[in-house]
Amino acid sequence: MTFLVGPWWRANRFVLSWLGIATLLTASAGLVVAGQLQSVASTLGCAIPSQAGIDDAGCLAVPAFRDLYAPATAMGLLLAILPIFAGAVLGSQMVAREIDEGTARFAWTLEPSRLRWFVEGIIRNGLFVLMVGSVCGVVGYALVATENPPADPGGTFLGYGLWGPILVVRGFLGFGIGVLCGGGMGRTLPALLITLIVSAALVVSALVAARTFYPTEIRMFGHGDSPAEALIIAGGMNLAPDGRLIMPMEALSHAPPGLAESDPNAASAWVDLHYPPASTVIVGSNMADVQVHEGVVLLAASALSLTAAALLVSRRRLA
Amino acid sequence: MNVTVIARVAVRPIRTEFTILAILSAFVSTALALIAGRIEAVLVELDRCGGPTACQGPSQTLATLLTFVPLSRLAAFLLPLVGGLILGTSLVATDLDRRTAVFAWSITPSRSRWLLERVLVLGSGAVMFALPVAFAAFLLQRALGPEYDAALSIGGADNAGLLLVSQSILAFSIAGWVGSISGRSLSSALASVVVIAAVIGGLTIGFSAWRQAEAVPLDEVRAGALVVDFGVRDPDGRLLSVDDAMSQAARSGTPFDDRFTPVVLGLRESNYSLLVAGEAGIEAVTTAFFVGLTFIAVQYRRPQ
Repeated sequence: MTFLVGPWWRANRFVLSWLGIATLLTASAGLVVAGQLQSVASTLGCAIPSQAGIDDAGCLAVPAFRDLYAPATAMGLLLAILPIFAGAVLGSQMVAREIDEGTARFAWTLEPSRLRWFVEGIIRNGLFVLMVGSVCGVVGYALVATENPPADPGGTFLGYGLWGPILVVRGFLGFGIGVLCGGGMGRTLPALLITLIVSAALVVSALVAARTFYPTEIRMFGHGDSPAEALIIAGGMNLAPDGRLIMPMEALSHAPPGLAESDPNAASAWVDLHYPPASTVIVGSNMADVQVHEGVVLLAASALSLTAAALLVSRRRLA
Repeated sequence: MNVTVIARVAVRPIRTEFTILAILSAFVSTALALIAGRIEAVLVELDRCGGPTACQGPSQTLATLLTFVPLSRLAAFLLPLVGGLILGTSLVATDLDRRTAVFAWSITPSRSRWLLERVLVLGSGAVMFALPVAFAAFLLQRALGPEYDAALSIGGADNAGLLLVSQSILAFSIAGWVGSISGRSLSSALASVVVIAAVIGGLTIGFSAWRQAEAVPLDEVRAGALVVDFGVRDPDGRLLSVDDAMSQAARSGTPFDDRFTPVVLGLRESNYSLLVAGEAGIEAVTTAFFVGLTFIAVQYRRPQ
């Protein structure tokens, strides 16, 4: 084991240390903020509006809670980005650095075959990405849960994409794309740039695609409200008596003539009564399925990239 | 060597990075300019529409456009920094990493001359990528109204055009210096991220304090002004923070709105422009400091 890890660690110690320290610092800071949020919320017994057991004021009306909310959100975002960044950095340098520095020929002759060298690299770096993603996924869960007392994010769309195993999967996606770009370009920095752009595009596309295949329901709640347990697909609409969802402007056009011009508040109340505000959502119980499907799509993209990279490495002619 | 040859020698090895940055710069600046144009057009429609029914459409369009603003502003803030970081890393570290530095230094009159030529060419590249984004960010800001200080702004970033350009050059100089010490492309890029965040974060905190000190109550908040904070005046005309006023209102049992008049604190257009010029000047001096450090590091570096 030491034989396998030692040379890898020595060759990558700066990058691994940087990523490890960044993960530990962000995770520790996240846990500290989560602990403080929980302490404030449990002392006051407050909740976040739109959750079960709503307190009229809500935790966000309490300055001690509100002051922690912005750093907690920023840390949650950092934790969500770190795994994909770690994967992209490790992936883009795995093959590219050896080619860029002209050490590929030597590195590949040390192993029985190029493929063996490639697979060993995938396992070592992949395990590191798994570790970073797992830490971020767990701490992200703690942050989302304490930011939204008394809700439990598990089995809901609360903070979707900011916690849980999907962060590990996104890390693997960044890694797979990075290895392919690095292997193809043979240059670390441009490979990293392209990896980050392609990975971000794929994450967004997978999220949109995963939503598309799920049945939606019409839920009635006020404009501007966002029930955290559901994923809103089309928000800010109004429900017509025939069951159709229509735009607020169309609903307003049905108001008694002249009412909107003479008394906008009365017109708004009339619309809310006859065409209640509603949105199309995917209910929270579908979260696990959406996450599995999104994860499978991203893992497939990662596996395809790694396969293509393996082919590139095994056939690459060195200068 | 003439200028074209010097530029070609500096740019050719990193043409992939140049192409990616050019595409990103064009994409982000076009998107910002389009959003700015649409917002201005919708605001004109809203001025003319008359009546809630007729204004509902433009209002919804404006709400949709505004959802893109935070991400656009963040992209406008980050892209010049990324451009500076990538080109700065390529300034010295790429040649050291590929072990071509010794050859490159041997064919120029001196290492300083070699570095000067590269600083001018790649530094111009960093400005070239930042300028369209800075101009588009200026258009977006003009469409949105007054600028907000970094602590208050949407996306947490000050998008004053001149600062975007000076930050790009600053990031370039820092990455160049770190690269000249580290001699490894990826390692120096990662280390530079930390140093750039620390230097620009520190300067931003200092600039915010400067802005707070210069802020005055604004009678009218127009496009081009800077909003620094919000406060209130009590019946005696004293300026208070909103939190202090709320606790006073709670103690006295008087409704907040009856007792206090809201006040916007900030800088008028001309003062804000002068302040931004001063801040950009400080960043330029910091840039010169890091470029100087890079010259020293390259001069005394033992080639590998």
